Amino acid sequence: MTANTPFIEALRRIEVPGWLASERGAALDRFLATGMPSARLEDWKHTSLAALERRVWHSSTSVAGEAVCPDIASYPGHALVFQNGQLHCHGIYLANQIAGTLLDLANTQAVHQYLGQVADDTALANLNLALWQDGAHVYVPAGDHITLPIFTLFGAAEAEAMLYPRTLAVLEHGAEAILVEHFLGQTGQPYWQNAVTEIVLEDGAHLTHLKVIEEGAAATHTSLTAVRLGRDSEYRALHIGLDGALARHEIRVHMAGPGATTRIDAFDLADGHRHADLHLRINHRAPSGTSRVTYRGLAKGRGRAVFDGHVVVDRAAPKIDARQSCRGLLLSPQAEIDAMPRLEIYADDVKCGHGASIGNLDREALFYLQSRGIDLALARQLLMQGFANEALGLLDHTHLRNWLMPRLIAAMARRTLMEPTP
Amino acid sequence: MDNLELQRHLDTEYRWGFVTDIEQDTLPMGLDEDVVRLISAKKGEPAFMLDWRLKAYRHWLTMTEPTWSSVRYPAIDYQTLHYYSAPKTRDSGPKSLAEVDPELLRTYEKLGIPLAERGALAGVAVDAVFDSVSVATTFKDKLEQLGILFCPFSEAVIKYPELVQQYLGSVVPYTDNFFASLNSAVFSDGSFVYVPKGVRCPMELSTYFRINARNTGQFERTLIIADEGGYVSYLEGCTAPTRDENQLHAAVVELVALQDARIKYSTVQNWYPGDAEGRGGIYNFVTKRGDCRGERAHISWTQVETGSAITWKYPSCILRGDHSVGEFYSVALTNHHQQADTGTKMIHIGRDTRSTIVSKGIAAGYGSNAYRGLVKVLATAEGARNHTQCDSLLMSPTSAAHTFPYIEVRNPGAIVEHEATTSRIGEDQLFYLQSRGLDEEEAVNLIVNGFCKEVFKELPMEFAVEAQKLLAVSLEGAVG
Repeated sequence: MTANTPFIEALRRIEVPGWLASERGAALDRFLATGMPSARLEDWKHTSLAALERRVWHSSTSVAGEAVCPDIASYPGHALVFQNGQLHCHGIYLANQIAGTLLDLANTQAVHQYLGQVADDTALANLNLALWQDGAHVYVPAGDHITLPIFTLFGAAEAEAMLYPRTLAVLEHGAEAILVEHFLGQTGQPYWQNAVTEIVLEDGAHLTHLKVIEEGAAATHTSLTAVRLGRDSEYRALHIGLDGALARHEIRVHMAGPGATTRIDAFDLADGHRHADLHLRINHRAPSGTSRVTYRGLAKGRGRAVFDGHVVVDRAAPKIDARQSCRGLLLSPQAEIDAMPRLEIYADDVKCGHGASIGNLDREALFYLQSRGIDLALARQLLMQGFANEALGLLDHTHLRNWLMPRLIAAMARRTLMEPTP
Repeated sequence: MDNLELQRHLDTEYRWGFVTDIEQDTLPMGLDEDVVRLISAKKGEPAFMLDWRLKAYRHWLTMTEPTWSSVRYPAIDYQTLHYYSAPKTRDSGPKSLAEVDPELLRTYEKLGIPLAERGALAGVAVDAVFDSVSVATTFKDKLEQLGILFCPFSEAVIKYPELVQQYLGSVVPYTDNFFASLNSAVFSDGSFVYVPKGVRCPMELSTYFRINARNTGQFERTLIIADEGGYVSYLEGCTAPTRDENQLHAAVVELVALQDARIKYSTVQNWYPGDAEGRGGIYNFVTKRGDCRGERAHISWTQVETGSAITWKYPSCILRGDHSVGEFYSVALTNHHQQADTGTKMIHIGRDTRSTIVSKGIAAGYGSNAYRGLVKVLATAEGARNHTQCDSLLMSPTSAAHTFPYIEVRNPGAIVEHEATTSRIGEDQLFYLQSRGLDEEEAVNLIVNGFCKEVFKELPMEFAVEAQKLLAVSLEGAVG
């Protein structure tokens, strides 16, 4: 299965970093055994990584000098900044200043217990485990509530670089926090970020997790967010995909404790030639769990939005309430939206459902707005924003909202190829 | 729910389980080119058919059995199957009902198939398939007057070779998939229907499939063509005798609807599902596809699947003609250890094409029931419209119900909607009905019938009654 592409050849010669060497070596072997996920795999049917293998990527060597640390002050919370995969600078971050800790993952010995334990055994997660250099460790002790958002920024400015950001968040019993991961491209050259985020929520813990993907225009972003939920814990995620040539984000939620709740809201913008793929897998493994998914995908230009929402209910997990809503807005004849809202149910005492619809802007709504004196272009803009807003219900944090909205609106207003002119 | 009464119902044996004892003309086990040649020769087929079969066989050799579905079964050894089996006939076959083997007629009687006069009363023309060769066909004259061709496939190959050559494999090519290729190489018989321009077939055409001979793969091939403005409603129903060994059934059905034509294809499938422990039962791997070739063509699939150990079928519509319509209505029930992976594909190619999908899955016992469907709107399908609804009803903690819809849209003028729900049969509903004096069985039947109503109402009268009865029998005592 593994073709001898230059990419694979280079990996065979690579030396894994010394720390955690045996785990890393084993992960690399697993990756080499399976190779890159091919389009023949059902899970990768709609997204091809073939282009990645044709390039020779190099590991990032250093924090690129010319890239300046982004304006940390504009981030309304604690911040940790990684540049080209390595810790670069930080804002108001220091273990002692906040109740929990936000640490440089590479310098934390306490992570052995969890690192690599939550993420699934996927090819790309194995590749990350083998090669990651730096990352963030968010640790919130039992009962602590951190109200200020914790930001991790993963900037990329190095052409042809292969980057492996890694995040581990552990919230102990009853802890609460807000984690914002921001992937930001600072170059129009191709690079590849292959990220893994592992999240452990112990009993009664609450995490709000915002992930914003704004990679460079020629960049590839692949990532896995793996979450393990304890009893009565709650995971609330908001995925916002705005930029990057190809982005594939997988969220895998293991509802291991009874009474756990997951809510995932997502908005993907696929404009220009952008390919935006979001794969969810919510695995109900314990009774009385609740999950809610709201997906909104907007495709214009030659963009393609792919959504796969897979809910699995194990035999040992009765009293599950799982809902999914998926809507796609298709605005151009060259764009495409693919949706797969899947249910796989092995227990009988469940209430599961999903709804999916794909279509264009509502003509009547456009007409109504125009009859009120709003021109067509603005009317379209308003309806598109309204559509995106349906996925932003979780964003009740004012500062976060103020931080995110300008980015979202700017991306939405971006002029793209083939936009139909009214 | 552990009383004996329910257990008795739960263990209801397959009602139509009996083996007819008549002489069979069976080829030895195994499959190679000689077997394909022999099948073709036995049927006295023209050269083009043999060529086609051989091409299919050679292609099949290059293929591997698919594994992507949710069904699980032990590997099939294709060399241990018999590929041809026909009831032995005196001379060149029966000329009338009187000549048909009386044993055979009694079998049909037990199954309640309306032949001859009974057929006339029921208004049904039957092309009965006993294992592999069609033995009796009625109402031919009446249909012939209208120019409608309705005959066994083997007869059509000889009598109407140009029609067969034109349409065979044009919807499901011999390269389509593993089981369709196998079918193309070794298919024994089936039905052929041609409805000429502007003719409305005045009666429901129907065929009964039976699987009888031990270890005989049944490879039916059906081809229905409705020429411009034609209309035909075709009914397919099946029962099969009880036995322990699994039997393979890989049928292919091709429908072609030209401009303004309409084809309605209804199936009630009640093959032997295996016993309560999951031993035996039919493997039903079917390829069914309809092609709306002309403008305003209309193809409608309705199926009630209660039998077979494994059902694996996706009756599909290619909506090529502008304004063409595709419909799929399905009830699939799995009890004991039955597995079903069924659904449809709606491929929207023409402008303003419409499709409707209604799928109802019921899983009881250890049954596993999956809906798998694709709605694909190509860039050319301006104004395409699809609505899909798939609901699953779970009736035991060991049953499983899955929904795997694929939606791919490339036209901004299209509207595609999909809804799915999965839930247990409502305890409060059961309680309410019981408090009104219905016993639990009746209450379950009422709820299930209500759940399936949208599909049943699409069935022709004859089938609707049978389908409700089948469902009730298959489900008795399954709740709890």
